[in-house]
Amino acid sequence: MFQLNNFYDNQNMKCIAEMGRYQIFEHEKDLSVSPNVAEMAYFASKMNVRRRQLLVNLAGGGCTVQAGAMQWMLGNVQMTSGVKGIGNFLGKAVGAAVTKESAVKPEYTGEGLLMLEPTYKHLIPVDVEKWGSIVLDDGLFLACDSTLTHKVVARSNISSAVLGREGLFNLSLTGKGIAILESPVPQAELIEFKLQNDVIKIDGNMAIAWSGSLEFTVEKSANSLLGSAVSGEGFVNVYRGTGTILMAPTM
Amino acid sequence: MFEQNLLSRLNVEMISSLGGFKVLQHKRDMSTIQTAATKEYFCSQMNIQRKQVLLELNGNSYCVQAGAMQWFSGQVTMNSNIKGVGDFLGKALGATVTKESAAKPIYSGTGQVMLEATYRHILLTNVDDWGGQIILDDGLFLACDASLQQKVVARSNLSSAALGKEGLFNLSLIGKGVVALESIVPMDELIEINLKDDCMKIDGNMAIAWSGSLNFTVEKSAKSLIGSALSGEGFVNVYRGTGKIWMAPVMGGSYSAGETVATETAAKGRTGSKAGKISVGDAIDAVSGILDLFT
Repeated sequence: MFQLNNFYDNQNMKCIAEMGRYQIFEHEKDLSVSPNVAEMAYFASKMNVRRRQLLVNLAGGGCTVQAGAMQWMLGNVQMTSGVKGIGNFLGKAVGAAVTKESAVKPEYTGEGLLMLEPTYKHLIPVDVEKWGSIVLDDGLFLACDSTLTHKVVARSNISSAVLGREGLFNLSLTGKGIAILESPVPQAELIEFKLQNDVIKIDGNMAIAWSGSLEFTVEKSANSLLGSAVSGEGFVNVYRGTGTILMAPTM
Repeated sequence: MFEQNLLSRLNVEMISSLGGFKVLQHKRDMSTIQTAATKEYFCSQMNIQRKQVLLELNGNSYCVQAGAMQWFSGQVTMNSNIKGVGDFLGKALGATVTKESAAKPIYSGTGQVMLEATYRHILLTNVDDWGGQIILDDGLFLACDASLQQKVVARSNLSSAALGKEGLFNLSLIGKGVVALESIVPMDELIEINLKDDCMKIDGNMAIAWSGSLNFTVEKSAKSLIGSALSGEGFVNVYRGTGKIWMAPVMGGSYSAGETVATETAAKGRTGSKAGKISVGDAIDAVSGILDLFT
């Protein structure tokens, strides 16, 4: 049995988003500022630079979290490293190195609450079922339901990796469940494209997440190499097929 | 008889009170100068105000962190609370390990005692609400009812001190009475957790106070040592049993008040985990206190 005071009813701590058993809390204002940094903290609070934290209710099943992200756990909560042996670890380490994620993503289970460390980045909840399979940009993963399968997907062709500046491998999540992304841009700055047997071409690595069903290639922007060069665009990232893309145009 | 016009002034308000403790806040720095105006403006916008604790004495007595007194009026006497050389040495040892001042003077009589202004936040709490014993993080103590018994408690196991970054010893207060804590975070940034035969695990030393009834240990976050290391969490502070915890989850953030300079504290830097250790001044205060007893 536990009871939290000054938490859900805290004036300075607002639940800004909720999905399933995940709650995203935002610290409205830094109330413990020292005089030396008062000016910076003042403008930070005016410019939406705030600390955000993710709270997970583990009663709904296990939760897999980016390594080192736990701040506190309340109640009968266990952590397992999710590593089953040396071979398993080495496989995970390779997958982690290429996706810039932590090698081991600990899994938390039990009856209770799990709170993650505060971050100035923005937390975006995503229902993976709606995506079927979601491919994430490097370093975007924060937490997800343990029911989701993690897979490192390689690019369909080398050109997309080398020229698309997206890296050769990406973490993909498949299945039924919710994932929380730690994004440098807020949801309000993200454009969501829904493609139905169509195509989108983006100049740069602005897509932060896309459906696994989409075919991702890197192509010349014009049909001829000369045309691409003179148009000033060169190569573009092309997503083809049916699915969703989250793009951060201001990143 | 004496009078003071403090509470009738417009710039001073009482923000909380408990027992004989009153916390006064200076809304704005009225004596600023041109060159400091920008800084003072942003300070006033960011909840950085000077606070002072006013102790009302009505025949009772208070124990105060050394050097924290600003003025006292009325029939108030101060004694050093040192009963002899042996007592002082014991207290000095206890003080070193808890980063508190060795001698905490006791003010008693009828009147008022005002403590030094601080930018830190004053938390008032009744030890009775903590199941009769509260354990404090290093350097948090500012003042308490003299009826409370002070005890330095050691960790139940060595691992908890060495790995939990909380220090080997903590000051604990036992009994009935009010204590004023000088905290770098305000009450609004604290989460209060009431455990009833349950368990709380914290990654870091974010707990600033907890009930003496709780069993505090430091444990591996996963069952296996290699699992703990790989998970990136390593060791966690574990509180088990029944009792209360105050936790500051946003402490140590980039704009945290934890970086305040020592002079901003009421106790002139003698409290505060960064200030650390007893100073020579403390020792002189205490020695002169002993000499007073002999003369």
